[in-house]
Amino acid sequence: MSLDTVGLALAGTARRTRRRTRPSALVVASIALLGIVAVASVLAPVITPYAPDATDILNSSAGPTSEHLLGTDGTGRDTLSRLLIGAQLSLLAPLAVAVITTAVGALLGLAAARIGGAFDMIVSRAMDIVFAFPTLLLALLAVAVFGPGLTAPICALALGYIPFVGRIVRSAAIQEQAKPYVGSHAVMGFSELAITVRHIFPNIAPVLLAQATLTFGYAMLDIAALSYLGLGVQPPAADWGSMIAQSQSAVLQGNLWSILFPGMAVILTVLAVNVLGESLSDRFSLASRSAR
Amino acid sequence: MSDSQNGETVLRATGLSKLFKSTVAVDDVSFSLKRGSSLGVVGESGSGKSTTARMIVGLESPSSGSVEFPGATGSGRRGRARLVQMIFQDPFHSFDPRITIAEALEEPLRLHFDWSRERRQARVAELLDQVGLSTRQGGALPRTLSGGQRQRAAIARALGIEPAILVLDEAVAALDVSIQAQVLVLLDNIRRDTGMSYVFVSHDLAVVRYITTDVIVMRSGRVVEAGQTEQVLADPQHPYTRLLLDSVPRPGWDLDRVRRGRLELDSMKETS
Ligand SMILES: Nc1ncnc2c1ncn2[C@@H]1O[C@H](COP(=O)(O)OP(=O)(O)O)[C@@H](O)[C@H]1O
Ligand SMILES: [Mg+2]
Repeated sequence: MSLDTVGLALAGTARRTRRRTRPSALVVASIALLGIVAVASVLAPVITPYAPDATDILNSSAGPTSEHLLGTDGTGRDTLSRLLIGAQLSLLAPLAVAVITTAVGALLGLAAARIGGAFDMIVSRAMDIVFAFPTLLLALLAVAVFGPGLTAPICALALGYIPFVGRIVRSAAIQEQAKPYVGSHAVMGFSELAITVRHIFPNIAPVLLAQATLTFGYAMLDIAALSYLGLGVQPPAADWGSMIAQSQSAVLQGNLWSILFPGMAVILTVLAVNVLGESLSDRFSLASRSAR
Repeated sequence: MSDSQNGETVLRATGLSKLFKSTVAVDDVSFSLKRGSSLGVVGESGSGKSTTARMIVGLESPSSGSVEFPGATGSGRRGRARLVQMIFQDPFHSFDPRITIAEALEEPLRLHFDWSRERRQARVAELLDQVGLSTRQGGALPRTLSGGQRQRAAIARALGIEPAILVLDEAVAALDVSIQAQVLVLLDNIRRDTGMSYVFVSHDLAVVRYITTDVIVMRSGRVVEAGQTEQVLADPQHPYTRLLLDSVPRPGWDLDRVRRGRLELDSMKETS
């Protein structure tokens, strides 16, 4: 064996061992993309080239130009400006869904696992019933009852997703509480609540983080769909979903640009969030397997 | 080791039974434990030893019968913890994997004593030293320690609570023979120094001979023989105890005797 092949073999092992601990390029790219989107949405009011509702009728339905970098929509509004401002609502609404879902789902799942018995049965059956409902339909119903706007769909989507998180947290907690350290802490005199809060919850927190991330991705798609149907964000406010809806007339006039950019924004952000969520949940299942 | 006979009774189990659905795991078990003494609980796998141990510490509630701690004042889970602690067979999983050994030792001190942080940390250092662990090992996560080190850490954690009784369920069974000896010597020294009492569950008669003063022999959830360890092991009265003794490989070991013992026991079962 020459020195070169030894070097190659060593490089190979180094790369293989590193891959386990370091995130892949795709994950890094996803984090970077999400970081850029988040920063852009925060800075949006400062960095938008135009007011998001300023119309430039002479240049309506235009493709990218030096004046309008991402073109304009059917009423001549600057796509880049609206994309940046729209990022705020597009990120905040799914963030709200993810936070509510994770908090309530974690609480229900933990309580069901730790209290057990009839309480567990009632909570689990209730979650099964909600689980059987298509979440988007639930959101449509909420809008029908409470009228358009973001509050109703945020609550409805959270309600719809809670069983996903609740079930996963419950089974993770049941697995965790079967470990002998839970019994040894009971013998040491710690209350069930203290054991749950200080030991079981922190040990299943990575699962929760992964679920929160995935929930964010799903919520973003569902809210975009609602806004597209005109049931979510109401004009003159804009999110990416309503931008897609409003650019339909421009598409009919033969201008694909105005739908391309908000569409891409939704797709890329959701993809990045899902890549991150999947990698988090993979990481956790790997960690729990090697700890066994 | 019969110096213990004059201590007062710290634990009394009366008519303990435990049913799991239709399985009778423990059936009418009674014994008492004197201060500073060490009770061995022996029997083959499935004879109800662990269930008995778990009922003593309150991890299982008896289907009938009672566990009493004469002279005890505390009540509830915290009160019981000050009376009796338990060491499990699997030292790895008896620690929260996220926190260091020192943190795990400090936790129960915070629960049971109204001490300053400095005092707790000084006590943790003392406990680590007592079981022969270094400060560096104290700062490590459980998974980085060996089985023997973790078991010593578990002993230190239980000692911190200063219980009157320590229940050890196959506590050395998972350890290498040389490490076993270390831990047994440690336990024996602690008992002599502190007057702590042990309930020592084991299927290993050599270990029981070394560490216990009294012994009960369990079979199918029942106590078939009880007495002072030396006496029971030297002159077993029940055929099951004889079989357990004959099953230990040693010079002059005779497999035929083991077989004959099995047959004798089986014929007993049919007539009873
Ligand atoms: N949680 C439980 N549920 C059902 N059966 C159990 C449970 N724990 C123990 N048993 C049964 O009780 C009997 C005694 O078990 P155990 O006390 O663990 O015996 P040992 O420790 O002597 O091996 C066995 O038959 C076992 O299968
Ligand atoms: Mg056992």
